[in-house]
Amino acid sequence: MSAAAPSAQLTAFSPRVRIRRSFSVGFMVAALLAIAISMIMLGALVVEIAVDGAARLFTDGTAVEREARGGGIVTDLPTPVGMAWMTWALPVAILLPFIGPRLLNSLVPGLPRLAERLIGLIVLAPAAVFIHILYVRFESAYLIDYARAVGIDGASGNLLQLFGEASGFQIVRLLVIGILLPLGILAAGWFWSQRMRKPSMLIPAIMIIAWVVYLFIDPWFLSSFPSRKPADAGIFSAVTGTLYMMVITAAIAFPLGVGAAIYLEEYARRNWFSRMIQINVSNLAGVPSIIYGLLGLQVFVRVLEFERSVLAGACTMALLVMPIIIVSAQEALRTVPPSMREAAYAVGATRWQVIRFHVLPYAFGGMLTGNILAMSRAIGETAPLIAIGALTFIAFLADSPTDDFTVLPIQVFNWVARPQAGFHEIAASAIIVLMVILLLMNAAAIIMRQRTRTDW
Amino acid sequence: MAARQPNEPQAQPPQDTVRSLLAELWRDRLQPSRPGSGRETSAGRVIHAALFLTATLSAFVTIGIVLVLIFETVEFFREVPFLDFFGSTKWSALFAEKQFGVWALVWGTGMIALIGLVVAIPLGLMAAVFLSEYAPPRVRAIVKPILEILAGVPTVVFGYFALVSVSPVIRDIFGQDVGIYNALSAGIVVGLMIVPIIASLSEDAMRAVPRSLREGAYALGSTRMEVSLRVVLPAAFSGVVASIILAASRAVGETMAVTIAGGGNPQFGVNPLEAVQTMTAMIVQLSLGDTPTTSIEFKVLFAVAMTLFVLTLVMNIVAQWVSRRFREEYE
Repeated sequence: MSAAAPSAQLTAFSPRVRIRRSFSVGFMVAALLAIAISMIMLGALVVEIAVDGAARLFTDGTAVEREARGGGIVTDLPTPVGMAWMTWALPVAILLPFIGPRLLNSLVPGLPRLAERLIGLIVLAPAAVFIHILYVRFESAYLIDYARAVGIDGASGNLLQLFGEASGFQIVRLLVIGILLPLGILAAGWFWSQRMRKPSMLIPAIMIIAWVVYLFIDPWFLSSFPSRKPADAGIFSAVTGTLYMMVITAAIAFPLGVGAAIYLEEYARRNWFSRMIQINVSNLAGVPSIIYGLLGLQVFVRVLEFERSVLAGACTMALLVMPIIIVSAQEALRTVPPSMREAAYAVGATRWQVIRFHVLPYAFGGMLTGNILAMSRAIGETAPLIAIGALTFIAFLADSPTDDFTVLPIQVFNWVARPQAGFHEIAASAIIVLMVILLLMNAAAIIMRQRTRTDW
Repeated sequence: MAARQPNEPQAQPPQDTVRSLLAELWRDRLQPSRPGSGRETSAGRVIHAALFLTATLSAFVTIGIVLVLIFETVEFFREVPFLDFFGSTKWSALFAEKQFGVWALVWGTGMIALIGLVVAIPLGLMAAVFLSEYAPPRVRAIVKPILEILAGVPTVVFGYFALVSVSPVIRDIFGQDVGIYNALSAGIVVGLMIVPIIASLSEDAMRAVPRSLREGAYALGSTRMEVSLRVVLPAAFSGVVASIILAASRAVGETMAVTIAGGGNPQFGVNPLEAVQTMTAMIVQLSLGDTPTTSIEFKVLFAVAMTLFVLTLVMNIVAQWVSRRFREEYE
């Protein structure tokens, strides 16, 4: 008896040895099965879309078919100068103050702060201009196609003579190689200098893979406008419309959302007013997106008379993602230890100085992560834009914020809603492009969150 | 210290909302809540005011939504009697003889949300239990971000999936006379869509259960399954229920997938293999056409949106209330 007791006790105490093992194993199997089912379903989704989409996204018979018809882009195409500046110059200008000095500091350590900033601007401004010029030339390729289609060969001005017979595909390729490759090399160099060997190897690898994939992608699909025939249709106006709207949305939503978060975390007393705002924000996050669309329809489209423009879409989207940005920025601000604030106050800083020079730099990574996640939500949203009346058939690029526009998910919806199988295929191709953009954004957010997480 | 103003608001209780708001602001300046905040420069005050405005913007958004919805809804009920809207199950807004029985749309919404929950609750809860109780940290570190990414997949993508993959399978199972647009396939993809919400939020609730509870149960000789189902799950019950209600609210507000896959047939039947129309799908259908802003179709849009708004708001508030009211406190 006394010999048996200790072994029985040992059995009971050890959580790894169980009396009813079969139940536990059965449950675990069931749980794994449940996860496996959902993974298989989602895997089916991926495979389905990949198989359908690849048929159109990657070069195949449709390109030959077009050649045989003597295809060309026959649309009235204004030169979208404003668009060009918005899509490239603005993000560069926003990123410049953040990336510039850091990049330079890693290359030439020990530079004084001001000089560092100035040189950063001087070095990177030409890069922005270079990118811009490339983009304008990329557009000029369309003018060439257009000129050829309407039969006015050679009569199209200096810019076109510069490029002569260059096709849109060549220019797109030049653009990708001209921007992504240098950027990738710079990023790899920066990571190397920061002794982060893994990303410094990873980035060139991704670049090369992306480049190879790009070589096989049907350029027509990415760089032409919607059409009545599936073989001719492309997502150029949808992609540029998405980019355009996202830039404006971020420019509106980020300051407003972060401002509200700073007020709630740093200024507001714990009273009924801040509680009300807090409850209000969490309830706003649960409002169906289509209702924001109706709000945008009445307020931005009709009362403020923005019409069905990029601006109206961006304002609506900004209101939609603001609760997400507020909540994530609040979480980021809460991670700043109070001791940091108290130390700054102790040496005589004002409240704004404490926030500007101590709290914000600390919380910036977390805020940026939240912002990226909010933007990835905005990229996929369709319903509010349909409610405000964004069009699906846009055969031009938006030139100013007051132009009509379309975005990727709306284009997808339009194609899915058509009965012909050909449109379902190109819908899948557009979904691939959309998902690649989304996955890249999410991956960036996750990596950034893991890198900025510091324990104090 | 200088003598306080005789009309200091703290002395008298605030009479109305505007005054009490002003009183709070004034008190905030007199009695700094944090050290150093009394030393605000005039620029600092401007920044303070600007940040305050950004915070109140969210309140204005809510007010804006409510006003916009109420305004057109009132216009609608001037033309259509209240009972025609809430007392009927026939909907034909686009026909010559118009009927506005909103229950047909609410029924379609509820049916799809219900199918979605039937799919999502077992999958989501099992995933949550697995992630919180069974999975090694490395697996969790990989699966959790994947769940978050899944939650961000655009709903048009799920709509495409329903139409191209799920519907054909359903037709293979139930016979080819089942339409390509049906409530079942829309409901299944809505379920897949809300699995990440249930899994992620429930897992958060389960992980918040203190370790000592689990260790106590193990010490009494419980198996891991008993700990999961009889200790952790009840302890996290309020969070789990709240996550399910939030997921249901998301399913009710879900738009694109049900528009693409649900079909546009507002009806009041129990057969999930027939096409239905949800409130959101109806709003999209009316928005896609060129509806004149003075027409009755435009106004009914807002009446339906109001119904949807109130429904989701109630669900969200119930979710918050459940998670507060039934929270088990451990210290």
